[in-house]
Amino acid sequence: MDFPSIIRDLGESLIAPRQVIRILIAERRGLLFGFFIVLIFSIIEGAIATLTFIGKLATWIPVGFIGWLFGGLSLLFGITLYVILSIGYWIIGGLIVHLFCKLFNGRGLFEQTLTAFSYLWLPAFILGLGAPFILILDYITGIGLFLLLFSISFIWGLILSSQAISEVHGFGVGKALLSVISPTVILFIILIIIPLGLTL
Amino acid sequence: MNKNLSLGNILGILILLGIIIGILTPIIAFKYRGSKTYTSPLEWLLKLPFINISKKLVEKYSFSVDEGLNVVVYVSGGIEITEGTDKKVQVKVYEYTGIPSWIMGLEKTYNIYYNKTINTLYIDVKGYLIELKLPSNIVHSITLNIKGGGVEIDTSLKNLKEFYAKISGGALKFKFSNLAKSKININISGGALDGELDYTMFKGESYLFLSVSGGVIDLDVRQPRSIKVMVEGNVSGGIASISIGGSHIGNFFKDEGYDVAEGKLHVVYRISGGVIDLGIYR
Repeated sequence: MDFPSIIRDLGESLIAPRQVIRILIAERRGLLFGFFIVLIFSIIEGAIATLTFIGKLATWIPVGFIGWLFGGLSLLFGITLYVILSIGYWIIGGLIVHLFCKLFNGRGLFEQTLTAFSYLWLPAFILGLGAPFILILDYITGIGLFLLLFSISFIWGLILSSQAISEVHGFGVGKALLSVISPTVILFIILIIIPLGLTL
Repeated sequence: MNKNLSLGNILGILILLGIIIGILTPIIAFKYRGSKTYTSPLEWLLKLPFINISKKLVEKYSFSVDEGLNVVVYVSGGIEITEGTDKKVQVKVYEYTGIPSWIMGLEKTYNIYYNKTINTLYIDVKGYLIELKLPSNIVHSITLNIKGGGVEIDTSLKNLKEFYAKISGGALKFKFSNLAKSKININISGGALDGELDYTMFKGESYLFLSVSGGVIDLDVRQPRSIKVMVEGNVSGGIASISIGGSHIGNFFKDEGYDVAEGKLHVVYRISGGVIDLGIYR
């Protein structure tokens, strides 16, 4: 049985991210691999999230065709927005991760940081596998399952990405984890802490 | 190519499956999702599990009314209008329990009274559900001002002469049958309307005025072949889909012999945003 190397790379990234990132960097295809992962999994996440959170709401619109239109437009808008935000987060977040890596005396290049950071999206395949259940279930349970799988995927992605960053920059996993969560922490401060502080 | 079925390959296949299922499922779910629609978010919420919503009767009214009744309704909650009997109007006010206040809105009021001098029933409701039974053959006019929630009119209203609906949120669903010479005026700046107007033969000119600056109107008009139609439209934004007998028309249409016809339907629409889907069938 023959397997394309991309399947092997994807699968082994889950169990041996350090080895795979070394191969990707050596073969100079890390950035393409990273972009592929971010693009594919942001499309999947965007589609499932839109249908889970918004798609079912369209059913209360009493006008048949506008329910369809609303559902279709929201799906298109949801996927597009999610892809743009994901790629934006990958690049800008990757820049922040890279700055933190440099603060910790990391030796990797920005391109290599981006490749390693893209591992954050890889475990989102579990959302794809769970999609039939998420979308068949009723609204509340569907949202619950989506959030559960999303959280698992995110934590798994942090672990993979941290290991890859640690390999790329040649420092410990602790520093790598701090670097990888830095964009999330900054985003959390900007979106939640600052607005809360301003309103109180 | 790698010929070993290693753990990495198995996980790779699993990821590939995740990608394929993750792309196909939303497509299938979108294509085959149910066509069931609900009149109001409340009706939809009632179907959800783990949410214990029930409606409780708060008050009921009964008014003896005269022919030529006018009904004026201000609503940001929900109203269901059904067919009543004789010359009695029955109003029931329900309160939903189990719905968080952020869904229903913090302000909950209702005010219902009948002015016999001008034969007008006033209903002003926020955050409650009203069930209104109207004797269909004595209603002369209905004025609706909808700012949220849902209104469903499920009665024929045979002698309706004037209908004015202003919608700035929420949803309105209605079906009027046996309409004769009348003025229908619908103004929507948000929300949605799904309506059917069934005209019977009449003499004179009926008016149907539609104005959309946001939101959606989906309206079907059925009328006898002998009634002639004139349609005048003004589109400065949004989408207008106007058809007569299934054929799409432009911003202006006039039946041959309209000017001398006994029965005429004059349709005027203005759209500066949102959607009008108007179908005239005969």
